[in-house]
Amino acid sequence: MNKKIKKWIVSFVGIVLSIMLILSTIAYSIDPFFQFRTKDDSYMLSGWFVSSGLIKNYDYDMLILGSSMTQNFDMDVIREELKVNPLHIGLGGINSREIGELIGLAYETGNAEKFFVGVDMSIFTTDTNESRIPSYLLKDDMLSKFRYLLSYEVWFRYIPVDIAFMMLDGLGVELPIKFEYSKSIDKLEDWSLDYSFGEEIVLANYIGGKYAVSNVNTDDLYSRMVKNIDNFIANFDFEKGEHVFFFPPYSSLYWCNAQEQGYFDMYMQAKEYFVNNVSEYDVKVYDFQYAELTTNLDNYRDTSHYSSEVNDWMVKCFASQEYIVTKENLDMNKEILTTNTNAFRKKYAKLFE
Amino acid sequence: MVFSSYIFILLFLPLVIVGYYFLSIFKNSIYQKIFLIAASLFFYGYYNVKYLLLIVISIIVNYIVAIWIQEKKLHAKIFLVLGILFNVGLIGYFKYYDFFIENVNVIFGTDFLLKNLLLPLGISFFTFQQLSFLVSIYKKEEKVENLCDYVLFVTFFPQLVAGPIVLYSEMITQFKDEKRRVFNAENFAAGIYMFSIGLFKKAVLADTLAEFVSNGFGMVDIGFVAGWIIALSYTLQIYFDFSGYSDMAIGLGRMFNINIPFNFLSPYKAESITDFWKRWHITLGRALSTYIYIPLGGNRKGIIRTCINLFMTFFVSGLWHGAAWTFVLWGMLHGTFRVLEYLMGKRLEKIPHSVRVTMTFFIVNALWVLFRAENFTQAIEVYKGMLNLGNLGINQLDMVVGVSGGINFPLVIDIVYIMAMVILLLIVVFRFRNSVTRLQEFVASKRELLVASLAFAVAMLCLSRESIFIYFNF
Repeated sequence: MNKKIKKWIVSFVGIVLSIMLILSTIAYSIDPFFQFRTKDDSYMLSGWFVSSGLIKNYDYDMLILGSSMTQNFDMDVIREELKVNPLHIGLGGINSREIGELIGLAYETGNAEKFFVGVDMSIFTTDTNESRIPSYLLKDDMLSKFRYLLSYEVWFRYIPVDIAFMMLDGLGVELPIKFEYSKSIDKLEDWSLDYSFGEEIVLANYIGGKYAVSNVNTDDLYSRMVKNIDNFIANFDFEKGEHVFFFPPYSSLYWCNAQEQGYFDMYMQAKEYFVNNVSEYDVKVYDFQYAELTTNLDNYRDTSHYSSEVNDWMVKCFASQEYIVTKENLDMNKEILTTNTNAFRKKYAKLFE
Repeated sequence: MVFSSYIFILLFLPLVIVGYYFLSIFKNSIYQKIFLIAASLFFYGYYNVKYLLLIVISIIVNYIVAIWIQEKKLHAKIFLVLGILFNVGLIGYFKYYDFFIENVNVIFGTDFLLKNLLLPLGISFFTFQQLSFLVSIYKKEEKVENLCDYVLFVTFFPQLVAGPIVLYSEMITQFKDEKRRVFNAENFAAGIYMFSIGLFKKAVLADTLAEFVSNGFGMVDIGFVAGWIIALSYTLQIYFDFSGYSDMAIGLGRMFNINIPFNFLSPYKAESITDFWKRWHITLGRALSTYIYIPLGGNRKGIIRTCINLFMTFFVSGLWHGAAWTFVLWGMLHGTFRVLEYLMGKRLEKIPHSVRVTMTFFIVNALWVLFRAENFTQAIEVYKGMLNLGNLGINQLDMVVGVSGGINFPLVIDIVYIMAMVILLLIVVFRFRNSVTRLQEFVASKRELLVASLAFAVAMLCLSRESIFIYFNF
């Protein structure tokens, strides 16, 4: 009896280990989060899960990192205009800690020579700084590898979807372009097909409170932003390559809203603080926030998110080195932005009555 | 540390098992006990070392008070009162201080600052356990044994942070039993089996339902179908979460040859609220009955006093579960139903069994909404949804499922997924044998081997999801 039970216990361990081994092998061969190799146009990609794998294993020399403002960059335009081999990681609502984790990983792998980082003002205003990137995807030890291969996300989320994709592909089913986008590394997290753009839509969203600028807690805002900027800058090692920061071109409506909520001036001061601080290093900062196109709501889906044509325009500016901001032209830029905002306010006076 | 974590399953548990049985080579059991206490304290203090100080102080004070009660017979009652005051004060300070101050501020318009104290892990459980110990010493039902046995009784890690609430008498005899010191393959296999089932319930079922519940309880303008799915999801989640934890605790106990009492017995098959509390969190019901209901007079002082005593017991139960009015109301409503059933007596038995089970389930399900809601507004939103016959659409289920694991599945898939899951699990809780029966009937067969190993393996895959046991908050 005792012998039979001992055999039962040993069999339990054996079966569990065998299942784990088989599943690990399958997950390793599929590798949906690119922890061992990358495979384009094959699997459903989520930025939160594949970013670290792409940074570790993709072939690139330029990394573009940022929030939803960077998600619609066209990699072909970047290749053509900047003559680089880019990888873009755009994660909606990315925070300072997540940027730090990903940029740190990029430094470790040493693939990139250029780092383009989108600087969203919300990175500096938020208090939450928890990482949403699973820790097992950031570490490189054996335990983390096994956690990945045997993870819930791999086995209950992505592998079933990937197998469904493969089966549909095998059956010759043509999926909508949205699904094709979701498999493309170049189009990672691209949302340009998900929304419509235009003045009417932006105004309707603004009036309806939909996709409006989230309310910012103005209590102690500037000192909070200064602290967050210091932490953000500390993420970077400017010796590791060419670093470029850019302030994305929010619409004038965004800035009117900032005036309404009373944080416009604090944002300007924070931007000045940022530029002054990074100017100590060999970096470039682009400020697109005073550009003329920000006054045209046809370029937007809401107060801050712009169409992919604007992304293309930004790339051309990178190539021609327009809109670089320095300590010297900061005041002038601020003046233009204020003038644009005031003119916009006059044009849409009814909105603010 | 939580049971459903890699660190516990892959490192802590194997090391403690090996260490514990290795020490059985010594004739004196003290080494094994000290080892188990050290492991339990490490388990307890893993996330926050500060908790350790609290539990150690609690144990030492209670042990000294117990000795005084036992030895200074003339003043035993005084020492018992002191012991009760200490325990109630401890839990009152950590669990109810802010709740009290909040209410004082509201009633008197004062502005006293809240302390925002972090609730020490399992404080309700180990405090209750020690209170019951003091009472049993006072009643001379027990004798204070050596400190080591007492510390092990309180800290034994399988039941330390979320029960089952064990009695001194049922544990101490087992700790002293020499036969239980050595490895027993039969117990160990049964333990593995029970632990695997519990782990599956928690990591696979409860944590999946938790996503629906978390999304659902944040929604407004909820439709009829979504309202019911949200409520049912929580009813299922709390059952699989807590009974899963209890199964794991019982399984772990078995691995060390210790029988921990059962805590669940197919509670949703209950035919009345009275019956429900004989099947749900059984050890809490036992403790509340012994230390609240019976001392209040139980059913010995007439119908009215019995009703008041029943109601008060459930009022305390509500408050024990959490420092919020939603918990208090939840307890009071259970108490009200319990009183009504008492008054109706045998007349209830005339109602067909299936109708009684269904009615009981609907009541329990509706009251769980109150239990889960962060405030009354949130509960009302779900209740409004459950009654919203003007919106019978199923599209909202997409929001209940949410963007799980970074994938926003198409609406049809989400609807099929959540409906199938809830219906399937309802069938499981109503039709399947519970884990207690499974454990009692356990034989090391191929079928049980397959069930245990598959449940364990699938649960292991789900461990990468961060989760917390619901009852850790109580």
